[in-house]
Amino acid sequence: MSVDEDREYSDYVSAALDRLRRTAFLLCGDVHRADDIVQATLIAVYARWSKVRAAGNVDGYVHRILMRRYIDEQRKGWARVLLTWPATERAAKPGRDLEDADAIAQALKSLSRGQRAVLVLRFFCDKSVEETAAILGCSTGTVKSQTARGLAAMRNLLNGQWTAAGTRSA
Amino acid sequence: MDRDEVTASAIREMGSRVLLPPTRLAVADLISAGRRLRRRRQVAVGGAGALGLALVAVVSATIVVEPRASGTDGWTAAGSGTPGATSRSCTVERLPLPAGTARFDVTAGSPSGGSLVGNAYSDSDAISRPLIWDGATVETLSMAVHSAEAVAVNDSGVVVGRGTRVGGVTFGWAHLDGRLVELPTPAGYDSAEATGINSRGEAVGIALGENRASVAVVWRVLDGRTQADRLAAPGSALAFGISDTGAVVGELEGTGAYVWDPDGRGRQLTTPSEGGRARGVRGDWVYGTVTSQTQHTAVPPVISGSESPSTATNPSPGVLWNLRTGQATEVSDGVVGAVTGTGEAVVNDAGRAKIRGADGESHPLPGLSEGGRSSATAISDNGSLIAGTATDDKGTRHPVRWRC
Repeated sequence: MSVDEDREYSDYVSAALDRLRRTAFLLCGDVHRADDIVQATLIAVYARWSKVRAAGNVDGYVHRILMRRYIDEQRKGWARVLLTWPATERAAKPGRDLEDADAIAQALKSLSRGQRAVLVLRFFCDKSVEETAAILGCSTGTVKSQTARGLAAMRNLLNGQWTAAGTRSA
Repeated sequence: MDRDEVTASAIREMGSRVLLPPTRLAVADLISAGRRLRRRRQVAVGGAGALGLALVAVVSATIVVEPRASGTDGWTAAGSGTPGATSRSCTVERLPLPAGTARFDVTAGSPSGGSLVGNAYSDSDAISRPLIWDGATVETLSMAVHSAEAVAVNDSGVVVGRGTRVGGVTFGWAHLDGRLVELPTPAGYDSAEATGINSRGEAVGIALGENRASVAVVWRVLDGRTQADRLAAPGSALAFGISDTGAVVGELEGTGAYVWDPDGRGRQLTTPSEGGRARGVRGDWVYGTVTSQTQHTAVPPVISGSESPSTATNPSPGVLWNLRTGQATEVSDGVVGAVTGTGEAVVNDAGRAKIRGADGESHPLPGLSEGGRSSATAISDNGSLIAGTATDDKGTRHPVRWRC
């Protein structure tokens, strides 16, 4: 890879790293595993950087790889129950910012993998239905239905505390 | 703003406000690793024509476990010639997968190491099918259910796990003598899953009620009928393992790691820090995780701008408990994947599997390729057989067995 390409890659990583770490954290709920996922993603991206940049949609490609790495990580037996077992849900408590964010994190963790991935891509990564479908390799219909189910599940889990009046400013 | 928009906004907002600790990722390291990966791929492509026909189902590589500095405790490198020192080496071998399996995991092994269980997944992850490895062969367990995952197996070959019906309701099951036995969900609860089984065929698991409260359950066969016994606990409880004597380990939600004695009496497990979860048990040894921060979640996010202290502590280090002595030992170098009845364990850290001796010394297990990732989720009671997954030089994951 040329020096220019290395520089482009460095620039991309510098700009995207924080966002990718947050995305991985929302998916897996563990900062260390999030870093593992992002690291594996960015190494794979570097190995194909020439093709990736030539294809034009770097962000879409990176998110596709990140989702695959996330799913690979989840294959680990110890992670499975922690991440997918619904009994880890805990009732959300109203109150301070920390508790609100914790409630959201807990509710996200309790969703199915598909629902969680769709909600994170659509609402944290600001991907469209079509972009989300391309990243996950599924139909737009699946994205729409998973979004609806995921939001409904979040609503139920949060016991309706997220009313318009309850939203917090950043 | 309707409620869905509010929820979507909350996800966006929370993701942006989580204060992550400084990353250990450096661009220069990523580039170096990326170059190595690219070189390996080029070599693999260049050599495919010559090597392709020579590939066999089981690939074995012998790598001597790295010697420890003292060289006096059995971990000295083979052939070092140190007088009085024993040597120990581990080999890794690939295990087969059913044809067409792209996504899979290895979840557990029997105490003798003779049987391993895992799962094959559809591309969408929506459907899973339990796998069982017996020696060097693999078989897909045939089950007339929408989806099923195997999580534990005993030396009699009884497999237990979680089944999912079309509507999404889960239930516990056991597979024995070639047939599926649905484990009864206790009255008052609407879903369940089995998480462990012991040599006596007692299965343990969790049942979940409509109000999201959960209860630890032990399934036993009495008079030809499978009976579900709920374990008493002062709150919502989870169970993940059962010893051969009937001790059950798990978590009391909001409190931490928990153990029920064979007579059903529960008590909290003392932890190096508060909270935690016991994930499995062999003999007197229990393994699990502890949380370093006692907020409301096992993996607490640290939020900027909150009033709470922003301590970026390790959220879930490994821990080993000894039920006989009551001692808890924090495992600082990874998450424990499984433990033996003598306190030996497998530990996973940063994509590398290690074996941890009862003396606390950890040593990396050989991978299928240099720099490849590996994860261990099972260890036989004598410590000689370990199983999990590892990536080859093309980055492809395989089920593997280590012989030590």
